[in-house]
Amino acid sequence: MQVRVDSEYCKGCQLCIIVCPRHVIEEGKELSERGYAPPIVSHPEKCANWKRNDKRKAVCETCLLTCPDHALEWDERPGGQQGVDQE
Amino acid sequence: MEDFFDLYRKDRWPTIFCPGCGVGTVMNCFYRAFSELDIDQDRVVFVSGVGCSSRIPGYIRADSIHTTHGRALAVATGLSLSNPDLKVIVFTGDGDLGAIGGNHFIHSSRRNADMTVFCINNNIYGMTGGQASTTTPHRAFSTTTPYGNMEFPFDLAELAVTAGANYVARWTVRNVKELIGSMRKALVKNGFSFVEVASPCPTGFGRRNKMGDPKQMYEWLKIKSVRKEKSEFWNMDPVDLNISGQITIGEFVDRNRPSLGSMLKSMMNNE
Repeated sequence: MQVRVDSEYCKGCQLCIIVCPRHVIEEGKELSERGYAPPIVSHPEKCANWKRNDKRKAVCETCLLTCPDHALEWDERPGGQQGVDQE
Repeated sequence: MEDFFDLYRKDRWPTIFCPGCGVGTVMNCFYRAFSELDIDQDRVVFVSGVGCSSRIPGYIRADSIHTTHGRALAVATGLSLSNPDLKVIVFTGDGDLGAIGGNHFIHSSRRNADMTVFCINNNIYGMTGGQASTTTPHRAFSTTTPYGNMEFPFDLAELAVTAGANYVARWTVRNVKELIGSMRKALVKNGFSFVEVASPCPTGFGRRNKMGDPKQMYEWLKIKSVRKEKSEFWNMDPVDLNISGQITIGEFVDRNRPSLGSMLKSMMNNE
């Protein structure tokens, strides 16, 4: 699974970028509807939870715990399938 | 409690806090600690005074009392004595607890009243526009100290240890895992348990001290904090550390003195 940024809640403080020990998240450039620039998950395969698919067994989670606005959440599909639409 | 929004109110989201405020991090950590303990949400009361941090109970799906400035601990003492079955949790800030409610804090620690206090220390009065509080570091700038703060900051955790609290810990918002562990211990502890969280305030404190970016404030917190074990190894006095702009983090005390409620109960049973 990988983290997903909720652009509705994100306030663009970029704290998730500096607390992540594996540099999974990068600075975003596009503005959201509320006028903030949410970060983008650029290297999800570097995340420690990439091969797990149950959020109750997740390790690390520093970005989720740090995010002050609860804008990050787990996408529980296994690694590599997040971009694919399930038919 | 499976989901984050089983504890918090989704209809009030997103929060009013500034981007990069540490209060949201404390809310995340509190949810993790609270949901693991399986406490009945109907038997919990959240008490708060006035300030940014005291807005947390407004987001929680449980009973809460919003009291006058600095009087959160006085109200919480009355609540825990009148109904000992209730679990009383207080969210408060440094101006609320250390400055205006300072005496209530000393005497609640001394009496060992049954409550859990989470203090979010952002070094400034954030909500009223950035005035210097009792925990503003020496030489830091604020609205009321334009030439730098002449006074020395107040160490809330050391005060609680000296006054006789049962459990005292202090962490920064960077130490999320340790903070969750301390919150879990504080929630199950009888008597007065106190967890202080050093938190960034980029809008009120950071902008006047060349740290307007939340990332810079996080770096500052990392430089500013010293582990308790390290300070003991180097024989550093907490007052000397405070003067040099540093704080110790860690678990300061964990003891089992009888609480005010249990003493009262045993007295009533004897007569």
